[in-house]
Parts: sequence; C-alpha cells; structure tokens
Amino acid sequence: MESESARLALEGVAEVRARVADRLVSPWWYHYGLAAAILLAYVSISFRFASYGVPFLAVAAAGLMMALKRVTGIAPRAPRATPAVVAWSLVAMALTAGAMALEWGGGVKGAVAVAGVAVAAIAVVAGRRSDRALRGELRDGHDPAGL
Amino acid sequence: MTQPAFDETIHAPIRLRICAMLAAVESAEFSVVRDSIGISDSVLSKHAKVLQTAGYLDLAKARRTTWLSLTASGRAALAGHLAELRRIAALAELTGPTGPTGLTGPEG
Repeated sequence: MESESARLALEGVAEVRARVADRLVSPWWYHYGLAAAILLAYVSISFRFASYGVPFLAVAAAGLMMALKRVTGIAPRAPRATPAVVAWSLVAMALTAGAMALEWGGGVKGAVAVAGVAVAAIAVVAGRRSDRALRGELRDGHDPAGL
Repeated sequence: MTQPAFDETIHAPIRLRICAMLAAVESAEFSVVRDSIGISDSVLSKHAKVLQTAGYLDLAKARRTTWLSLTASGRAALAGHLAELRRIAALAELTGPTGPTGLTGPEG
C-alpha cells in the first residue's frame, strides 16, 4: 500500500470524525433536565419522600437519554472522565456526604436539599465539560482506544 | 498498544468512513450515518451488509429506524487498521521523497 493512499485514508477518517464531533452537541434541555431530576431527588431525600424522588431520577435519566438518541440520531459514548470532571464529581460526593452528616447527625433540616442545588449545578458543568472533551478527542484524533 | 494490522474489509474508503464514524459513538441511526458520510441508502446498505457479514457491525431495528453500531471485533479491527495506516504514513514522512538518509544517490 502506498503512503499517499494511507495519508488520504487517514484524512478521510479525520473528516468523518470532525463531522461527528459537530453533531455531538447535547440539546440545552438534556443537562438541565438531568440537573432538575437530581435536585428533585435530593429534595425528596431531605423531605422524606425519597421512595418517589430517587426512582424518578432513574426514570428521568433513562428518559432523557432516550429523547437525546431520538432527537440527535446518535447514542453517545460513555461520558469522558477528564481530570476536571473527576474533580467536580469528588466535590459533589463530598458535598452530599457533608450535607447528610449535617442533616441526620446535626439535625440541620434541608441541608441535603441545599446540597442538591450545588450538585445539580455541578451536573450541568461536568456534563458540558465531558461533551466538550469528547468533541475535542474526535477533532484532535486523540482517542484512548486508538480509534 | 494496538498492533498494526491491515484489514481488507475495512480498507474500502466508504467502509473505513462508516467504521470511523461508528467508532466515535455508541450507535447511530441509519440516516445519520448516511448523511454524515454523504452516500445513498443503497450504498450504505450494501457496505453495512459487508461489515455485518465480517462480524464488524451490528444492525438493530427499533420501530421504523435502524441503528448501526460497531462490534467489539469491529472496533479492534479498525484500531489495528488505523494503526497500520499511521505506520505507513509515518514511515513515508520519516524516509521522505529522497530516502531514509536524505541522499539522492551518487551524482553524475
């Protein structure tokens, strides 16, 4: 095989990947919808109706993913765990643990609900960063799997 | 590290583009693949069938839509093929048009 045809084939691959990257833009409602479901789950834990709020989060997450697939025609790969996304996730976990300790250990009513606001905001930021990382990977050709 | 391995099935330009597109996602709807690559329904169907027969592609029907995804062996074959293309392209850059030493040979 000639080097020129190898180079042309790789250029074709890069072009297709760039087109996919352009399509991998989550609609505005996806991250905000997920954030709203997370907030509702935290509020439900705080105000003792978790048996409705937590299952609702699972159903909402699955429903949002189905809607995303239907609207874009693409089922995206798993979110990219970039250092920033991991850091935001650790902050969210620490906030949740702290709020639970405050509410159930210290008797501070509504602490988990307040933490839910922060975690919901983190979900939007981390979700957008993850999308951006995935698009960047596709455009730069830096795929961890060698694809 | 993926071992370079030329794959005759994937190398056909349209099939390489189909695989490259599907490698970037979990799965994609038939019309999205068709539009992204810029080919007709029949051409995509023909090449998808070849890839499916090779065990590189899964076709899943959902209501009135068809979803395409690469199988694990399809991803592995594509990774090997891309590694081989990169190896060939890198080799050419290394040696350049005048050979590995940059010399054009004896003059005169």
